[in-house]
Amino acid sequence: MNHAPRRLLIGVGNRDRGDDAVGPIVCDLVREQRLADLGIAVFEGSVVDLPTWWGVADEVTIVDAAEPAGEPGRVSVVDALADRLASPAAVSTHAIDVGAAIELARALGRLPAALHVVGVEGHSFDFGAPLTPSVRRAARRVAAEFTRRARLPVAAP
Amino acid sequence: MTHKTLNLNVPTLTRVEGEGAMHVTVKDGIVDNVELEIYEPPRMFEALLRGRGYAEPVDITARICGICPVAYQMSAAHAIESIGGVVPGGAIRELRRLLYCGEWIESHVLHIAFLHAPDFVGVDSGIEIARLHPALMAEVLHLKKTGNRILDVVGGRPIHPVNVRLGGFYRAPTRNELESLSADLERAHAGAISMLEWTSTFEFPSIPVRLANHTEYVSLRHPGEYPFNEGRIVSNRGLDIDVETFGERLREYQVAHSTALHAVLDDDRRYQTGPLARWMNNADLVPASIRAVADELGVGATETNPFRSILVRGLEVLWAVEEAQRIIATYRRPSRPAVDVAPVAGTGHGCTEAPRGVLYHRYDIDAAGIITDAVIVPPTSQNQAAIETDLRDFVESHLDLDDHTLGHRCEQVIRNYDPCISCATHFLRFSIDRDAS
Repeated sequence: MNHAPRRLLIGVGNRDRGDDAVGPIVCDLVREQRLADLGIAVFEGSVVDLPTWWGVADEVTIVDAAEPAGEPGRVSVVDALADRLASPAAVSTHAIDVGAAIELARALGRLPAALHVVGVEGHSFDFGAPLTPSVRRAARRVAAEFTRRARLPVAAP
Repeated sequence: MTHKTLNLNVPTLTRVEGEGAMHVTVKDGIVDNVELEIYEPPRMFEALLRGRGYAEPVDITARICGICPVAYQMSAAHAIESIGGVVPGGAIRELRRLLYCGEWIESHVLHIAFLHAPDFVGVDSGIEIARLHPALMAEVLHLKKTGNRILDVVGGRPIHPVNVRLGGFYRAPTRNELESLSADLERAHAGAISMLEWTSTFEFPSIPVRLANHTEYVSLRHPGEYPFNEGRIVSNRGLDIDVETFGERLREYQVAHSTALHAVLDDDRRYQTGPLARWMNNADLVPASIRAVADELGVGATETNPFRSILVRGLEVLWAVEEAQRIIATYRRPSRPAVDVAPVAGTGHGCTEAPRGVLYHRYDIDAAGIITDAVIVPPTSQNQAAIETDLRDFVESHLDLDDHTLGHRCEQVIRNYDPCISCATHFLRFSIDRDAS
């Protein structure tokens, strides 16, 4: 993509599966701020074509639910340009996750200028369940921090 | 080396339409047993539908599959509309075909590039192919994304479309909205040809002649177009019946090693469905532009080698791109997005062509519009016996291969069918015990 550098927020998750919805909900919260020059995309299904959604000059933040590890709502941030996310050894239609999609982008030479993956540890992924309170609080925190940073100028490539 | 006794065990086929495993046993050079074992508990969608309103299956059944939800929506809609003799035409019919184009593109491209092609390239994943062919895979990703964009524009979401209803759609897209797809489709057309040219360079394993000779290929056939939603059920062996009769002659049965039902025609008539069958029964209906590409790549009107199904899928992608372009170029927004479909007591049958093959639905509905019975026969069920037969013949005719190669080729045999179980076949783990005594 040959467009001017921009910020892009991507939320990954199923809105109908409890805390898996945290990524899309962070996108909803940020969208309410009506920030200029910000792209927002929600992936509720396959993320295999994730590398086609950004340009190489963009600053991208991906928010996804992280697997339960005893501390629901814990927020972890990975600089995906510096570190690699754990991913399945091989990829299938359903199993490709954010880590594999980023590796695909790396293989294609299509990594953006900045790429951060924000993982919010979930607790319940039941059908139709709401966000658990600690995850909801974390979603607000992540959205507020993203909004604060998004009001700063985009770094020159 | 020749295997006198061999056990090929695939303990985990995860993320399948039914999780499963595969077991092949060879004794004294003869294949003794082949089992495609689906062990995931049944999902009970048919039972879930009983007692629900007649308008609900288009949404409920879409959730059966995240890759081919349109197929479930279309088969359900056609089955229920048929009870009252409702046949949406004009722009609504065209929009349904356009939606199906999107599904074929995204589903086929994923299978071709990420699940099937690694077998031929000799790598484990699409990521490794991307390292080898970054420019090509960038176009492949764009092609797949274009399919999902069609679903988004016409169906309201890139997966599990929410804009489909009985009689048509909740909202018909504007001409401008459809034309917003044109640039992507033009690029996708070039991408589809590049992908085809690449796959045509693959080396395709041979199959025994008897395998092709013993297979019946079943698909829809429409008088004037490559089939999506409508037509009669035909085969290379003279089968030519309407969808209702097909449903009556379909027999599902349980096998001990699988929680997924198998299906045959007329009690014991095994067949296969999917791209090879569609192509065999309908190749004369594709435009000259598609035929020319097929000729150039050496794809005949009849292809029986399941390993070459990747080429036919590629041709179907190219065709779906051109069909989408045709529909968009002639689109006029309908005055109403849907025709009325009133509840009518009776039984309705619907068959459409999912990417993986014929998808059959039957609904019994009472006068109040309540579903009293539902039957759904996905292509994967219909193809299970064919997959097992392919495995048996392939192993028997390739016992000279070493364990690793034979195991790998068996995985390929399964993936040839792009069953929903193929979503997981890259996670196959073979344990091979050989006893040559």
